[in-house]
Amino acid sequence: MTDTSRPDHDLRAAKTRLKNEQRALTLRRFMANRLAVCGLGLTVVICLLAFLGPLLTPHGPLDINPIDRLQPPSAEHWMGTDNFGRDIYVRVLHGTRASLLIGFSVALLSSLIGVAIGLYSAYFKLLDHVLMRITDGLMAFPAILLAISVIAVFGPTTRNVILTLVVVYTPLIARVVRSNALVVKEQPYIESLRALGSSRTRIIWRHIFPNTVSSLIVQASFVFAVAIITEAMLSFLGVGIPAPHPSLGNILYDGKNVITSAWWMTVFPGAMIIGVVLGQNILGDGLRDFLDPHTNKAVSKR
Amino acid sequence: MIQYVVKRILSLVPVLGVVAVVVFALVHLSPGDPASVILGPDASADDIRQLRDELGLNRPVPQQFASWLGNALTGDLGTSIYSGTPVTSVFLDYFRPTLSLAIFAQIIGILVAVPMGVFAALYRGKWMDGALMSFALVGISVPSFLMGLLLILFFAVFLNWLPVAGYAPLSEGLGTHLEYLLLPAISLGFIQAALITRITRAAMLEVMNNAYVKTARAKGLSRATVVIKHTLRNAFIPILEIIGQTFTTLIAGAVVVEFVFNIPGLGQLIVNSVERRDFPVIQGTVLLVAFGYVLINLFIDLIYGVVDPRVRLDQ
Repeated sequence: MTDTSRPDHDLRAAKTRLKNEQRALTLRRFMANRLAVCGLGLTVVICLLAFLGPLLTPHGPLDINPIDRLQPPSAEHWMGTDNFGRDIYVRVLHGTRASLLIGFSVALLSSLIGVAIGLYSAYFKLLDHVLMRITDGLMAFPAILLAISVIAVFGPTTRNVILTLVVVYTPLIARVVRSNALVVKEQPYIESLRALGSSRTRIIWRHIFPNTVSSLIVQASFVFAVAIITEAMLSFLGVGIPAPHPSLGNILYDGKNVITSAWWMTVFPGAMIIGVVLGQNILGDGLRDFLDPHTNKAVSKR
Repeated sequence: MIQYVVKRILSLVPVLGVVAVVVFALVHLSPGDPASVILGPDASADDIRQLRDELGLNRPVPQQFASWLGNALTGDLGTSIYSGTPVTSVFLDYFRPTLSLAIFAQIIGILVAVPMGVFAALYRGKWMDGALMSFALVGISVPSFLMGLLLILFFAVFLNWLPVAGYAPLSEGLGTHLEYLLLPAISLGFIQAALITRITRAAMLEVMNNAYVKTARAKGLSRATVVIKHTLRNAFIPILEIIGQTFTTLIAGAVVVEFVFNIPGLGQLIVNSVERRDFPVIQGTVLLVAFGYVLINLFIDLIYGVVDPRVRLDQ
């Protein structure tokens, strides 16, 4: 009895060891990828700042204090104050939080929808024709113009901003997933699965989907960045996150009117936008090199 | 070739169909009645009823769509509620500065980016490549309107070169026109340049791996001839492609950059129209810009067909 279970036990132990070793190797390979680590680091630092940073000062993002209006950075107000005497530091961090939430929701939702569209249209030819014409049509719209008109009709709420951006950026995800899935679908093992009687759902989700994940992650990180830029543009034009609530875009809008006298209202939120987007772009580039060593390092972000 | 052209043009029909449906649905799917959306919350019931008749809102939706589409195809996109002038003429008035800006920015972008991309590819892995590519990576992370604000800050506040914003139409002379557009075009061209640099480098690297490049070099052609005539020329297709694809990003960027520099272009038109609840203008602008994107991409596809005969057989 013990004789038969012994090698069994050994085998299991060896398997776990191998798995751990592989995991450690993957981790080391990731850490060796300087781009990905830098991008991830920058993003994590910004997230921590956005969620914990406001605790460091007593000011709230909506606290109006007319006596202290338009003050340059000081020990009391680290990034100065705006034309209502509100603390820019706290407003920038709250704005960053809003940007991150919007970027994340848009990336997540458009990935979920885009994956389904991409996989099914790769698998069913007729559906492909219909869905791809629709995505072609949606890609013809500049995100910002479509978003402005949707918001003009439905009202400026964070939810509407997110939903519009999802509509505009889902095609970007669907395209990438579809083109990957089309290649995988032609592999002999998919044919053998079909011959063995696997259901379509099983083939699509168990066997095709995992092969599209790496390019999906890369594309999603770019959608994250673009969504943040578009949201900043919308708020800057006055049709994004509605006024007293801070967003990086509407702080810049307030700052534009006093740009010749209050540089801090432009420089700090601006630097934050660049930081967030740069972090995502570096992470995206790094992940691409990491997940798919075959692609050229400088391929477009589309 | 003719077959290719016809095929490409026919393939636009469904795309334009989707564009038309989305634009139509924008106003007609709005919560509540388009007439009351247009007139705002303070409108009287009589006014709303009158506008409903005028807009034909009492007819079934498919019929409304058909007549709207019929009008749109003949160039009639309705009239602006604010000024009473046809939407198409309002659009064209405001489109000119935006188009000037977009073209100027695109030219700056290409002039800067192509040499940068070529050098990065030639010195692949050297410090020059690293420096140029880091620059490009930062470049794609700075939204154009932010670049505009930073440029204003630099020129107006630190150098005191006022005024930095404003606009002069082409009729005041090309020099003045471009002088006013220079800063906005740099802001917009910067991110474009960064994007094209990345594409150019990738395209160059791909072509450089081909055997015919080695052959050209082996038969004793100079390095410059090989790079310009044999490599760059073949790398131009992906570059052209990205120029077509980024048309909408460029127009979208221009819309916001104009707002920064107070240029009376589409950006101002659309922001003002949102404030005035001028839906026909918003609808028309979105439709025409999307249409422009489709046309530009058709044009670029046709150029491929001429430049690279393989493309014609591809479909």
